[in-house]
Amino acid sequence: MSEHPSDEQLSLLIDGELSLTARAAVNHHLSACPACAERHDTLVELVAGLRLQPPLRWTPTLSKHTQARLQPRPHERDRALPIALALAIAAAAAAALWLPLAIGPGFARALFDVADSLLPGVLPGHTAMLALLAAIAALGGLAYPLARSR
Amino acid sequence: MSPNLFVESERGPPTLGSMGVDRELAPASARWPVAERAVVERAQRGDEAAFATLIDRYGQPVLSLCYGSTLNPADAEELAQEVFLAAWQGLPGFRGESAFSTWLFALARNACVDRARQAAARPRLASAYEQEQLDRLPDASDTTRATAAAILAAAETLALPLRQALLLRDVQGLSYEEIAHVQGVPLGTVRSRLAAARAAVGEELAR
Repeated sequence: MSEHPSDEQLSLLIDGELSLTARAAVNHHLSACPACAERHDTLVELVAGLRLQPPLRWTPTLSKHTQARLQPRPHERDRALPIALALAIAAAAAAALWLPLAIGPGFARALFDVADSLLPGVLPGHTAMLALLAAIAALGGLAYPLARSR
Repeated sequence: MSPNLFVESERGPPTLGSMGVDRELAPASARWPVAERAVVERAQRGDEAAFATLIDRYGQPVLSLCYGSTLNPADAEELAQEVFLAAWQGLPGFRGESAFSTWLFALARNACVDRARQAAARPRLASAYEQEQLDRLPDASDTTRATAAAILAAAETLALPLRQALLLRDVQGLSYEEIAHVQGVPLGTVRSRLAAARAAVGEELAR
């Protein structure tokens, strides 16, 4: 080996990661080149110094401490709960608004008649709409405590 | 409880002859099995016992990476625990497109980067740092302890990826393949990082 070995080659030599051929070439160069031999020795001392440090070990105690710190994770069903609750509240509110339309004349009824004339046949009857909204509210209201109890 | 699959070999006193790669170590692929989908899926569904298996399996490499970042045992242990707590919360979002270990190590690397930024903003007292290193070598001579502390203090000046590679290899005893897996880089990058780290620390000590 006529060229000086690189830092990487010296590092690999120290770690035993060079091929046999490359190792022989670098060692041959080191035996004839005091400057490179000094670089090599400096690296060897450095690595030896680092390896004096005891490795840090993961212990069963660390495992236990970590497990003890685990927080409950929000489950999928918990994320679905607000949706069921919101649906129940929205349906109940809509039913409450629809109630005046279903039970008697007045401004709300007049408003509905205007909307019905603009969209003939689209809006359901008052009683059917009220029943539908009440059913949605009841289902949503039931779904919430049922989901929580699971 | 599964056996810890990441236990480094015990090293004797460093000598020229013992500085070769740890040949007795199993390949990285054997230590970090990809076929652990069932355990991961159970942990994703909230099974803490399954997650405990993953903690036992990957605690050591995560801790090693964190130590390469903090250079302080207590900080590394705290950071490694935080990595697992974050992994627990983030596990439902893990889609299995990579091995669990790859995902976990990426999480750990990000945590190390964040911690390094915080540490840079709040530098610790050098004397306290050196004392912590000396405490880890109770039986060594004063000269040896001082040398080791000086080397680690020089390592603290390195860029994070270089420092981690150096600590993973020369203190924690990981193989090149294992470092590549933990750092998420090709083997060639590990080689160059180690060489650059050693050269830089050598220059720092020579000043």
